[in-house]
Amino acid sequence: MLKWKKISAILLCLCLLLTAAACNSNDSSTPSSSQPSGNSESGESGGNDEVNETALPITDEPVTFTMWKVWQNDYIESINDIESIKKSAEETGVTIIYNTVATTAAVEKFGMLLASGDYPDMIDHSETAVSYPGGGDKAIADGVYLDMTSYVEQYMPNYSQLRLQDEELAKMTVTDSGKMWAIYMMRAQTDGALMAEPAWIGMVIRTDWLDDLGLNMPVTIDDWTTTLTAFKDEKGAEAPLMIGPKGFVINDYFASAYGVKRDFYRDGANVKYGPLENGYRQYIELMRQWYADGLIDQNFISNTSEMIMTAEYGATGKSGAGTNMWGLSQQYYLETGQTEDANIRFEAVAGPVLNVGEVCQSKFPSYIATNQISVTSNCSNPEIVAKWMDYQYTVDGLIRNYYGIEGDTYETVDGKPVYTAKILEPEGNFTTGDMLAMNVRGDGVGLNAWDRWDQAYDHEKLKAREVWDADGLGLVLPRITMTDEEGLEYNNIFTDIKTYVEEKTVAYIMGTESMDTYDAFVQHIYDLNIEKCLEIQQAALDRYNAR
Amino acid sequence: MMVQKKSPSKITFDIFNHVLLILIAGICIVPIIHVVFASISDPALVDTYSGIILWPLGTPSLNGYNYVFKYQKIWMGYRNTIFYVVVQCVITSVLSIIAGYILSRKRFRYRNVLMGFIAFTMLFNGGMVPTFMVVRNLGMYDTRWAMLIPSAMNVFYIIIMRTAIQGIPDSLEESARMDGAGEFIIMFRIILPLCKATFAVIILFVAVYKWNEWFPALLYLDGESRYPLQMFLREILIKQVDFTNQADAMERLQLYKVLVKYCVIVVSTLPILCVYPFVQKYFVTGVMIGSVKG
Amino acid sequence: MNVFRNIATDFRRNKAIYFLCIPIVAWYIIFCYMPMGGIAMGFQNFSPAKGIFSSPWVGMKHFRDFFGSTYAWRSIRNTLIISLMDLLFNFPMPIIFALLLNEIVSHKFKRTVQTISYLPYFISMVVMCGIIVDFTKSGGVISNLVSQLTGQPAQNLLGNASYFRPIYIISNIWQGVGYGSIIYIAALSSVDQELYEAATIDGANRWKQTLHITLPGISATIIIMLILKMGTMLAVGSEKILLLYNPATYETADVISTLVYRKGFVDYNYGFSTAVGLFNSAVNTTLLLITNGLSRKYSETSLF
Repeated sequence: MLKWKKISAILLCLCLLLTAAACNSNDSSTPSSSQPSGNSESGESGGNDEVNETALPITDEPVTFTMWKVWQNDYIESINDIESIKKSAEETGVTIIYNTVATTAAVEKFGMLLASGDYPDMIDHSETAVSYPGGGDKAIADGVYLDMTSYVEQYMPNYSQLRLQDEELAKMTVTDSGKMWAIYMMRAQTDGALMAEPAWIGMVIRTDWLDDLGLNMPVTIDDWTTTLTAFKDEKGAEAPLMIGPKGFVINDYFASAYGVKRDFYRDGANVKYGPLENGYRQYIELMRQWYADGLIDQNFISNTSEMIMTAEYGATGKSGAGTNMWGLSQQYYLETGQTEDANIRFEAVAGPVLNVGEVCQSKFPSYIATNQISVTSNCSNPEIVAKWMDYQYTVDGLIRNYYGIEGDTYETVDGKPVYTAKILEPEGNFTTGDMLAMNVRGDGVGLNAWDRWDQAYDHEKLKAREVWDADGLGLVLPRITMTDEEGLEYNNIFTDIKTYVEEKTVAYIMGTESMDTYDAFVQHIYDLNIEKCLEIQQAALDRYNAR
Repeated sequence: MMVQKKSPSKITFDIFNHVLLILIAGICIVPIIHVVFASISDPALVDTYSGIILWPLGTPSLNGYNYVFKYQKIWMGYRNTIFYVVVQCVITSVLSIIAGYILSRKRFRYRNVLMGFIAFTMLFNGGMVPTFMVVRNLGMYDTRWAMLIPSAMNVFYIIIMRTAIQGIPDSLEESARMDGAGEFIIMFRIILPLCKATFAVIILFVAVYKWNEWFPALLYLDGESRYPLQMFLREILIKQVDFTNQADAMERLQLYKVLVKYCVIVVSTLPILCVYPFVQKYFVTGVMIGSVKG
Repeated sequence: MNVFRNIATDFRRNKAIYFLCIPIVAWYIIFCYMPMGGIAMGFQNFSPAKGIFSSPWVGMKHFRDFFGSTYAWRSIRNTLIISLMDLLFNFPMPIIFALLLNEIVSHKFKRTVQTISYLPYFISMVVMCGIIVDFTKSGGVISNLVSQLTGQPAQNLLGNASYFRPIYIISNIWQGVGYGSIIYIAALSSVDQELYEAATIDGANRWKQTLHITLPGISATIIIMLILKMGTMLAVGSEKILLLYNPATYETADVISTLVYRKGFVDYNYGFSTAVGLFNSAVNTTLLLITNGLSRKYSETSLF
């Protein structure tokens, strides 16, 4: 009996091993060999003078480069299988093999990548999912990334022209010392014009309730108090306003009305730290009052996400205001069947202010230059890579990356690309987002046509963006960088300060600590050496402004 | 089985015991019910429901499961995980028996040294980065071996195997050796049958551990084609928790995501639960060790 | 030289054993001892791109940073308290559960309860914590229960620092008692039945039998498990706490691993986490050696 069991177990293992071996040999994706396309223009390397027209193919001899990217998709196995990417490889003569990692593994994988020294030709930081420890200057100093400045000047006219269009943009795309450690993806319209994406997230409020109660959109803090009280008393909302787990709303609204944010913010050319300022105290007192009166979610501390009001509260009438994306505003909850209330309507509301006439100075920062793609020192031919990257900044490149293949995923209508039904009305359980993910490259190096969503989504909902975009950026710090040593020191000190401030803030809001201790609280922050952190931040801001 | 006259205190105890155990089972089953019923509920309602789901919401449907099974990667994950589980069980249990056997032989003078050598590794380890470098330098990166070899041995299993083997009288080994048996024969034909229960426990533990494992896959595997099931599951689950950019958040617009999360849990947990009944029979009270008195 | 001669003698006597040792020792050297060199990272300003050999040395800086943190001692204190509570309340549970199950005569009942009890172990942490959060919100099942017992209005229990540890421990028990009892059930199955029969004849009741036959019978297993547990006292897991804690409960919930996570995870500061890991290992080793020594003195079982 035992013998038979043993034999069958061994046989089973052998079978599995053989299957595994067989599977292994089929696993490696063979890079598609690109044939030079039958383009009339012979591959002439070297930049053209005319911008927005790049000679294709970029190189006579097909070349292949590797790029590390954070990407995952539920339906297709490899991004290299996407048809439009293959087509692009054919046209340009440059094939990019994407080494993809899942979002949840990105940080660890990146660390291992650096540790192994086996860098691919390019690294796509995927909207800061990963970033080089110590910053761009250090990456160049360490010999890991290349300084692309000379390549940009020589081979990337499109990119150069675009980034120099705007002073802020020019600053954003270099390091403090002026080096180009990465090429930045730029937000644009489908026609190639640079444009930052408007804020896609902000606060929403139940306007059907406002109508019932005869109230206007709340603008000042006092308006909000009245509105929330009415929500609670007359609409029975358990949690009239949803706030995030740290005691703040998106963009630090309400606090911004008092002129502060939850941590570092900008006051002209100076960096300030919120908790040290009087406005922070006012904010806490406001929240404390609201918590005691039941106007904010009593369970806010257990919320898992700052970013979005859950359907659990929004659709069920438990809450009347909170953070949400434009896509989930208006009658979204009704459309998905999450509520039966036919009147439900959420609309975007601008950031609150203290007094009428002021404009909120904190909004979701949306930059033109976002995603960074770096070229590593392992790259054998940065010249061709540069040219290839430059092509992505042309309209043709954009269309290939975001719209796909003509006739298949888009048609040209009045000179503009319009998605076909395959994308806009997908079969089965797929959504437009899914179809796009399966058919086009999407984000990466080049121009980012964020307006493509406009075709797929509800224009009513899209209006929300305008409301949120109307707020100002006065309090928001630009994307400053610290040097390696600064960064380590800062992190060491600030983590503790942050823990302390978070604990106390929440305790004050929830009422578990008396406001009598507030002055001691501020003093303790100084004791924890916040001034060093302010110094470091200030230095970084100064360097940024001087770029 | 022994025959016992039931005294009144025994009866009270029995009742109390049964009730208590039923209570415990009841508490344990709550999360299961929640997950199972959530998986067959109406997706829109699952999103908006506060609390524990003790009955299916809305009209029960298998939509979530249809969705999941269309998701090709699940099958790939299953295949890979089953492979890893089976092979790892074989490798680890064999190595554990060998190690446990060696460590229990009193004639092996340095067995305590070896034990110390092994146990020391439990306390100090170099961490993720150096282990990764070792695996990489051995050429195992992105291969299935990377999932199987670095986790082949576990001090805990060696220890419990050793403890079990120590309970076997030496006389058995002596008489076998006198009959001319070599070490392997002694290990597998004499010792192993006598520690069936412990051996079964190790196999169960390895199987469960391997089934749930995802971290080595995260570190050592590149291609999704070799990913175990839990990697896919984890991606689905974690994505629910926070969003940092519009693409993530837009994905959440898909209603099925919440539902699918529960379905995937059921789908990925069910198979391993079926292993337990097979292993259970080794735990039957009364394996007659006593009958093998020398 | 004497040592070598002794080894030689032993080798001759036990050739087969030494050959069997080879794969095992080799594995440990390759996968455990070689990577141990990584401990050097604890003394370096480690940069992944530079690797262990080229990263600059900073000596005890990471240790100074850790212990200099305002929260270092709090996190150590919390780690020890949670570990101790886990030891006191969680460790005996699977044993008791196994013993109770052992008393059941009906196989079917036994199997059913066993199988159900070990199911929660398989619910992934994220979902489990979601359930816990839901139960303990103000309005959740548990918080309502607690409010009835204490007479206070229902509150969000996870927002109250004094409730964190009980919630953490009890949910550990809930999730782990079934799975944890498996090893004891296995050990119970090897207790000689004849001993029970003899004891019944001698007139011992079930309780006395448990005390004098069952417990000693599985004592080896219990002690080994205890020693191993002592070797992980400082390793209170961060994943669960990260999912359950929040600024209102940092006071009791912030443990070493969560502090390290916040401080060391940014910017791949592996050096920092390695240094703290070293500290943990040192303490764990000490505890383990003490427990091992004690058990060797007072019982026949010990790890080494």
